[in-house]
Amino acid sequence: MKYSDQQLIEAISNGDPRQRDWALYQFCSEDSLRGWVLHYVENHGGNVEDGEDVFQETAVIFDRNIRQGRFDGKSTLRTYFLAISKWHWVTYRRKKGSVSELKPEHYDGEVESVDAQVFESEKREILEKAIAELDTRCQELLQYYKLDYSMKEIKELLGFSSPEMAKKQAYRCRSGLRRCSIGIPICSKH
Amino acid sequence: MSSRPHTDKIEAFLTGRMPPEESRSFEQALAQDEDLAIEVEMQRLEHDAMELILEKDLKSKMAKWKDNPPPNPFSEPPAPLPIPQPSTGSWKRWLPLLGAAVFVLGGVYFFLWSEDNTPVSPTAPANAPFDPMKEQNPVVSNEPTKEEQPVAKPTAPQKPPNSKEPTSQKESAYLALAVNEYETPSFDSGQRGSDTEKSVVEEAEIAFNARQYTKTIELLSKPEAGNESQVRYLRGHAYFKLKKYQKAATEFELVAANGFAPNNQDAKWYLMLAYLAQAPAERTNFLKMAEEIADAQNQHARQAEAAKLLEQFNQLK
Repeated sequence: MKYSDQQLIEAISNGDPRQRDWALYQFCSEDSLRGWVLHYVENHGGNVEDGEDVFQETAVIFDRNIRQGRFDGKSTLRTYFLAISKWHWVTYRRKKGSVSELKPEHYDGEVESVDAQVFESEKREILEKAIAELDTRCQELLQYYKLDYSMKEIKELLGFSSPEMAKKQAYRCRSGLRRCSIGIPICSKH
Repeated sequence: MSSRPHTDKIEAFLTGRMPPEESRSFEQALAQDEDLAIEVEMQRLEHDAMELILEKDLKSKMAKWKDNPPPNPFSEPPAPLPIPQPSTGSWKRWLPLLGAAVFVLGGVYFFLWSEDNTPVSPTAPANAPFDPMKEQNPVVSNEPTKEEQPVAKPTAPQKPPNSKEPTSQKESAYLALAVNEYETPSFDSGQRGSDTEKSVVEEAEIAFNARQYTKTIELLSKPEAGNESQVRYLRGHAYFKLKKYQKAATEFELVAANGFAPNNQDAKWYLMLAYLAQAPAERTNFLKMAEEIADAQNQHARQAEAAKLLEQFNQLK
């Protein structure tokens, strides 16, 4: 990677959609990172398929943590990525029910209780259904909203006539999402 | 709760932007105010859902990136020219440089002009950067519909002149092929009825026919715009005309995926062209779509055209 960690963090957190994609691609495409994760998973009781899943989930968690400012800069981004994958493999194995005993050396992060995991998985299912109720334009708008784009930027990206119009639509989409999440029928209609 | 009065505060609390002191007192308020606690949980749910949307988006992009890496946005903008500071010397010291630049540009212009059989208007050079205002206020032309399209000779309209990418020539050739094949559709539903009866889509169609593509997109952004596949199909064309091929592809993709959409077949054809305009980055998608259309079994109305286009594409390779 020829970009500094600071540049990549900036692009992931505050870049425009193309910069963000490019920065994330630097990690998602790097063979050595993928190879390391696959190797680690295989050496710790998993197979290639598990390794691919873990790699993909790692990228998602990595992206979220960077955006939410959870990366403290005490290591390089690469090391951080690998640490997430190690931690995630423990959680992943646990969810699959293939670990009878968790030893301290298996993880270096917090591990959810089984109840919390069940709750999370049910919540996810509900949210996935709610998202599916929204049209793709609303989904795209909410993505940009979550990425902290200004209403002016959203206006540009989605072709609204004004930032106020974008804001109005963002409110509608969020309200729709909320209604869908709590199971109101025909929830996405404004 | 009337129109979610605490939204901004809750937003700051949930995203960790609330100062620690305020955050502590907010937590105390939460413990005492059940309505507020419920509102916070609802807003948290919205955030979790938005996170999930981002997650799904990243996963689908990761799958795409295996074949088509995203373009590098950092290499595209040319380095900013140094601006002479008044304190460091007079502007006159730049005059020789400016003269040399004008001379070189003049030479290049003359060379290109003499290479091309088509006369180039000095006010609208073929390689001029895209100016959306020109699209909205078109200069009167004698050419019927394809005046905006560079025909026959591939040009390099999208890259800065100092681009050193080895594929740029190929990119231009693919782009020219796509643009050459593209036929601007004419939408006629906007011609019906009086002004007061026009729907948003009809207004957008009128704007499109008048080549006001930005306005078309703006009109179609209205939530009351109407039938989604109709809106997306028209918006896809507007983006295509604005040379925003990636966005055009996204719009056409959704119509092409909807087998019940009235413009489904056309959407596939234009989707293929939008991919072609982005080749080689979207080469795989282009080939997949072109082969699907060219396959006689699928009985696509443009089967023969797709087969011919594939031939031309392979010749460029």
